[in-house]
Amino acid sequence: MKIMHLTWEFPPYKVGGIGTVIDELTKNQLAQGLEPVVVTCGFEGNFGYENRNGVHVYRFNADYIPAEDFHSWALQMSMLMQNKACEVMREHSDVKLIHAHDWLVATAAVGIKHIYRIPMISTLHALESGRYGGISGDRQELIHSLEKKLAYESWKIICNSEFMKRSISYSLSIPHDKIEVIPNGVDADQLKIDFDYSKEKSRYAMPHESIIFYVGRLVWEKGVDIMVGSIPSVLAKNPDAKFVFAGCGYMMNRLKKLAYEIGVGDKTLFLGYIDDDSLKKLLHLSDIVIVPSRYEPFGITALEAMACHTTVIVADTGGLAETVSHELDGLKVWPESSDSLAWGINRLLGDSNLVNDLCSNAYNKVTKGYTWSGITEKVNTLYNSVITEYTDSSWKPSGILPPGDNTEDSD
Amino acid sequence: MNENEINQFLLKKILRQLKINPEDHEVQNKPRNILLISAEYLPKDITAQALHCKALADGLTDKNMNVNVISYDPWKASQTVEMGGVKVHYVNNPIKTYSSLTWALTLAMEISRKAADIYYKEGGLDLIHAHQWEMFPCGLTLQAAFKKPLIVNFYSLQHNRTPGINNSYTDSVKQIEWRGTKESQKVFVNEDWLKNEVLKCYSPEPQKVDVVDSQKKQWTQQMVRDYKWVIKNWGNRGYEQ
Repeated sequence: MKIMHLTWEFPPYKVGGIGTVIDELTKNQLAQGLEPVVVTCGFEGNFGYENRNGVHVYRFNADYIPAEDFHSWALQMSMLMQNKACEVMREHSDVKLIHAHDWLVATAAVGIKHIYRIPMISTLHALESGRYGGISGDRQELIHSLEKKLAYESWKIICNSEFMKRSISYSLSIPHDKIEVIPNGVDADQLKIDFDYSKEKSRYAMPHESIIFYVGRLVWEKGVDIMVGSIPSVLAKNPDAKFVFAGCGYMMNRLKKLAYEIGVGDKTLFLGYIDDDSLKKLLHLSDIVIVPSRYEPFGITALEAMACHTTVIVADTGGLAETVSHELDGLKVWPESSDSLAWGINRLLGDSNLVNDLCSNAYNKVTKGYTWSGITEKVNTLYNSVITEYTDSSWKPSGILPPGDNTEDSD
Repeated sequence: MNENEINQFLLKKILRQLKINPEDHEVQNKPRNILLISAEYLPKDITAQALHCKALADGLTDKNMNVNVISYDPWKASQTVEMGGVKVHYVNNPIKTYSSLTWALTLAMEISRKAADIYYKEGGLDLIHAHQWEMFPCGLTLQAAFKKPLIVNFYSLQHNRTPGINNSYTDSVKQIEWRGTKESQKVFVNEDWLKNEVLKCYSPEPQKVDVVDSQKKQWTQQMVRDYKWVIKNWGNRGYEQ
């Protein structure tokens, strides 16, 4: 069964986590007998067809799209994607279902769905109303209404946590029974890496220091300022703690300034963007990984840390609240509270037995409950139920065949 | 034999004497399904574009073509109004946009949906005619999907609307105009000077651009001829008629 994935982000081009999710999903779909077809952007001259270990990937030229802002870029990109998808449909006219990923591909997904009269489902990885704590201004209104349209037109919506299900239902006025919760997965084997522990650690901290690590975008919703705010209280009890931040974002300079203003600049290290191998090593050698988000639909970083035998402290918010069980496989602290976060860090730095228990439980949880093969099975089951409903529906064309099946009737 | 069957029998006999394959004759003379897409259309808009589209749709219907028009009117959205044999379908844009570019690119979703409805209801489409750049993105998609010829119609160019202004917005519109010119089978303009502007800005083959003046007599006959030529030569990139 052929499935067409529409996504603007796909390896080797990664901006957020969507590319990785779709990469893992399509790999596992192929292993489970499906035939995924991916339509995505091509940059730096890399466009055309690619057979990525059996997955059909079609890239269109997104190198030069003139745009006054990201929103109009996304809409023009989606227009090009729709045209590319129509070309691809000629080659793969037996595609049974469209799987759209996030608002950026909404116009393409809705157009293709109606033209070919095949069911479309979407995965909403995050919501605009959550990213900025509400909707204000015309740019946000545009994204919000595109999310609403995409959700409305989807046969089913996949989201990765119960929190997201509630958010989608509330924010986009979508009934609960249309939304399916399927979490993201993590591949523990892929995170394994051999390296010289002490040599690698010396790049970030002194041998006696404990590394408290954050990875992600340095933006407001990720709550990195809350983590910086917790540093003085941690250092008061554990002066050997070192705070390492990986990732970029508009708050980078503000956070550095804040760290120096509160007198902890020498105990922080801002790395900026780091490559995959460095990230894996840091996840392994860190003593604690912090996910202090204000808004987090899922929080894949927590899972990745758990898969690397590293303890996590997460803000009790969004999908994180569902992923981590307090004092069983990690610690949950109050969101937006530096004091609560400092309490959590001090607690773990002072109790190595607790850390060992949490790490062991967390690893078992991740490797049993969050495997990509299990998650792909859930997605495939959803596909089958949608296709069954579609086959019985009156919307399926009965007289004239969709374009692609009858294109030889031209004069 | 009833009267209809007798007529068919006689027609086939005459065609055979003229050495014309009856099947070819049937194909060449069957009513064509033409889809016009224009944001402006009478009576909502009283503009040169709206007047031209209305006159075109009426003229084509008179020439035994089956004409569907998709136009934008939020107050009549989802309605289909039949005006003198022309079926006019109205759509709305449910997306909150902030520029004519974002408006056009999101409206394309609704036009695609309506065009697909027409395709399945009418049993196919023979030609898509998109009026002005706002409709080109959708026209290009429908062309790619239905594998049917696309004609684009200019009433003005961004280059003339915002002379001397070069920013990302105007670049985006110009790119859409360029793609429409490049990937369509024919380009129609209503005046000679506009043809020169199109040739100057986007450099298509001169034979690809036709001036169609709706003030002239018999202009719809020329349109029908052009339509038939485009349908017949779909896929053939030679423009010699």
